[in-house]
Amino acid sequence: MFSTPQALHCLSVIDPYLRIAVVQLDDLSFPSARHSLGLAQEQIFASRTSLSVEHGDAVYDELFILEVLLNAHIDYVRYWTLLLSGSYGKSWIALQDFQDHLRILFRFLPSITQPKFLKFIEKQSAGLEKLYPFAVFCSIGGLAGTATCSICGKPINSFECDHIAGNLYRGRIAQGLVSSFSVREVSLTTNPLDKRCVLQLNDDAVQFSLVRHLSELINSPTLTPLQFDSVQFRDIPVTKKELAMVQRNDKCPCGSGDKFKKCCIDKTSVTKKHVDIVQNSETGQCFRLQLPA
Amino acid sequence: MNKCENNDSQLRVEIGSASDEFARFLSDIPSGVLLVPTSPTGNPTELALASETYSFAKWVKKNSSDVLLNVADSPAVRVLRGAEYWFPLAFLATDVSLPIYLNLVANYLYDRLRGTLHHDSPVVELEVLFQDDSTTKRFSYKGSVAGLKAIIKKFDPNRVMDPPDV
Repeated sequence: MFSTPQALHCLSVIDPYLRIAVVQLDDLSFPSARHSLGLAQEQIFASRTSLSVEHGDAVYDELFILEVLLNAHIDYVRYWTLLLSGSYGKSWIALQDFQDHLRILFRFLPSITQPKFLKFIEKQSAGLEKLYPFAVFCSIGGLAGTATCSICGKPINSFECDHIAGNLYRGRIAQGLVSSFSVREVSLTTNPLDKRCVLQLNDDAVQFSLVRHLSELINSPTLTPLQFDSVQFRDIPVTKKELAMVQRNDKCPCGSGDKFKKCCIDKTSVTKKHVDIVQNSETGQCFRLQLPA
Repeated sequence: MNKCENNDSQLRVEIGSASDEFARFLSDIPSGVLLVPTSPTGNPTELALASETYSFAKWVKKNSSDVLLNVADSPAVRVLRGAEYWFPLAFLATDVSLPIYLNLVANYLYDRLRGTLHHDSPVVELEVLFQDDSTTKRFSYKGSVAGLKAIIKKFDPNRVMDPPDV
């Protein structure tokens, strides 16, 4: 994964802290996990501050990647802390934060060297997103004036600057720093660049019922954060026994919210929405989570 | 019109009008590619380059220096916060074929989109003007990266030179 002695040494020191933090997270010992990550952070800081101008670009780049690796762990712990404390809105933001770190790591680490844990939380995060009510996002569009390169200070949208936005240069990612921006549109989109821009909901909103239910499962504790890697939505049949007990004016068991007499009363079979918290995608072992009406 | 589609993307090759700017490009710059600004609102006084313009241009200069590529002046860059990788309108001179240009785009995207998570859904949008003798043709695509690669494979470059469908 790394080739420079400085990065290899730093990794050898922080790796045990990262592993311990993951175990502590799974035990829901969040303060301990944060403490372990804090120790890793001190080591990375010490490694970075010991660098001089004589060190090559590779050292700076690799220490940057280690810092992103640490930040991914920090935000992952923060995600679970927020979720399990009922801060569902903020947990969504933390979910986006650690996914952003994953994108950087996957960009600069060859896939063959990517730690299994990162691939696990990538897969898990896709499932976690589905439990949230956010499917439409705000997105702005506009005209940007001169954007200065964060590396060389020259206009990044010109050939005066050799840097390509998003690439890594001596431990820093090149970005265009925009000095003027004229908003031309605000759109609603299902496929935004940044999923943080959502309509705010109170944490007790009914729309958070799925994440609330997951949080209750983990707090109970029936399940731990690392015991599942994906989520599947399915339709399952309502049993005849269940159907026989539904009265005309009851809510329809299909989950539509309508009364049974105005919904599925004439149907011979009814299905209801269902969420499986999949413990192991390969074996199909899962927890079953009923979607509330 | 030569048209290829798959489930999540759309590609069109159609007869385009020979704009003054494209005609000037062909007469002034006999080779390579020129990336030009367009007006997102249709207002000709509000021209802007697409967001990927200079990242793409610099990548081509670094990785395919045999392709002559230039960027027309523009006062602004259009920025969208959607997950679109929006390429500028490209003028192709006769020494750069459409498949060559599309493969440049595909290779750039391979590099650019490293790090994309499996559940991300980046969308590519691009438009190209090229000429077959006296006929100007416009190629446009909007869709996924996988769709673009599939269409590049399906798209028959030999038919690019065919007369327009009536």
